[in-house]
This record gives sequence, C-alpha cells and structure tokens, in this order.
Amino acid sequence: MILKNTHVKRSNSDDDNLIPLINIVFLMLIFFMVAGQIQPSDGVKVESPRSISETKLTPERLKVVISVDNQLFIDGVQVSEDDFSSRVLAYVQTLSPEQTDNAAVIIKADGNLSVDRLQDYVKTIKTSGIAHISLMTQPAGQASL
Amino acid sequence: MLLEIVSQRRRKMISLTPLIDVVFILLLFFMLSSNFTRWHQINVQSALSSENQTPELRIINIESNQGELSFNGRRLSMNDANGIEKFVSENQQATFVITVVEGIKLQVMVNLLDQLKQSGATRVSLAGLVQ
Repeated sequence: MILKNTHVKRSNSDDDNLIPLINIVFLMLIFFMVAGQIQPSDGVKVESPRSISETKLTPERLKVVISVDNQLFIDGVQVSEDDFSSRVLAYVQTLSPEQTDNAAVIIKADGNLSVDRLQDYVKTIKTSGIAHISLMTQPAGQASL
Repeated sequence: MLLEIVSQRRRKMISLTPLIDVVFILLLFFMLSSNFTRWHQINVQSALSSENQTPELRIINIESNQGELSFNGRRLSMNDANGIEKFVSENQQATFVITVVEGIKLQVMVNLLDQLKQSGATRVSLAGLVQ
C-alpha cells in the first residue's frame, strides 16, 4: 500500500513540475505576440541613420530600401538600378490623379550610404511626380533588432 | 475484465509534453519574427525649390565626414556644439539648408540636421538630397 502510494505521487509530481514552466513560456509567448510587431523583411541588412526625429512613421506608402552596396528593393522586390525609374513610374501610373497628389515614398537607406548616391534616387522619384519623400530613421542610441 | 480496462484508460492524464512543444515553437516564431524598433521619419523638402515663399536661406555645406562645415566661407565644426548654437541664435528666423560635397555619408547629414534642431533651429532643409 505504501509503495503504491509513493508511485502515484511521483507520477503526479512529474506533471506538476512542468506547470510553472508552461506558465512562464505562455507569459513570454503573450509578451512577444503583443509587444512585438511582425514586419516583412527588407531582403537586405540596412542600418538606417540614427536621429532624434520624433515624427511617427506614416504607413501606406511605397517603401524603397537602399543598402550600402547599392542594392535596391521596392516594396520588398529587388530591382536593378536601370529598372528603378521605370518601376517607380509604373507605380505612379497605377494611382488615380487624386492619389498621385498624396503619393508618398519612404526611403530606408543605409546610414553609411553616400548622399550623392541617394540624390540620384530622390531625383528619380521626384521627376516621376511623387512630392512627399521621407527618410526612415531609428531612435538614437538604440540597437536595431 | 473489459470494464476494468476502460476505467484504467479514463484515468490516464493527457501528457503535457506535446502541448509544451507547440507552445515553444510558437514562442520561437514570435521571438524571431517580432521587431521592437520604433521607426521614425524625416520629411525631405527642399527650401531651394519651393517658390511660393522666399525665406532667408543659410546654406551650410558639409565638407567632410569628420564634421567640417562651411557657411559663406566661415568655418564651423559639428563637434563644436557651442559654435553651432551661436550660429543658430544669430540666424533665428532663417531657414537652414544643408548641402554636401561628394562622398558624405547620410548619417553625417542626419547628425547635422539633429544638431541644428537641438540648437533651436526650426526650419532645416535637406537640400543636399534634392539638388
């Protein structure tokens, strides 16, 4: 009888020990689900310039990613340098005239990219008729994940 | 005999291990895919191209990645915070226009923009981007 009892106790305590573990794992799961944002990846590593700018990022716009070795991505799709202007023009042509006035581009460029390289792309975007151009920045002193 | 077997099966607990496996996989997914960076933006406008207003322009040229600046032949340095502050307070109403020479990194330009804003400048333009 005593032997039987201890056996039952041991098999119970196996699962009992797991419950605090599951509690913590569930808490971590909930934390990452709620606090983290899931974003599509850029396709290339880009270290945006750090800035004290407090302007919140406005969503719903064309995103251009330019890496330090001049790789270009428009909305996640890699394009060659020669195709860049035609892709931007193709985007503008899909918009209605009203939308074109409010069309905006966010540029996520690497902080180590030289400004004269970036100028060419900004010029291309401007000439295609998009007036609102913004640079994506990350808060100063915060490591990017 | 049959009855006994059924009652034994009922008493069996569902094992927690598969549940934990699934939860761990979910946890890994969310840990790896979530992003905590709070993104901000800088709007790029050129004071040089807007024709409807003709504000006083102070064109600052960035000469080197080490932060050497020039304004109308006057030498300034980005590392000299007091000098920049004095320069900004001398030109309270002006619009500051940042231009660059070849090879300047974007980060240096953004740093100068931040520094001018911190020194009290309200209108700063990244004309170097839109030239």
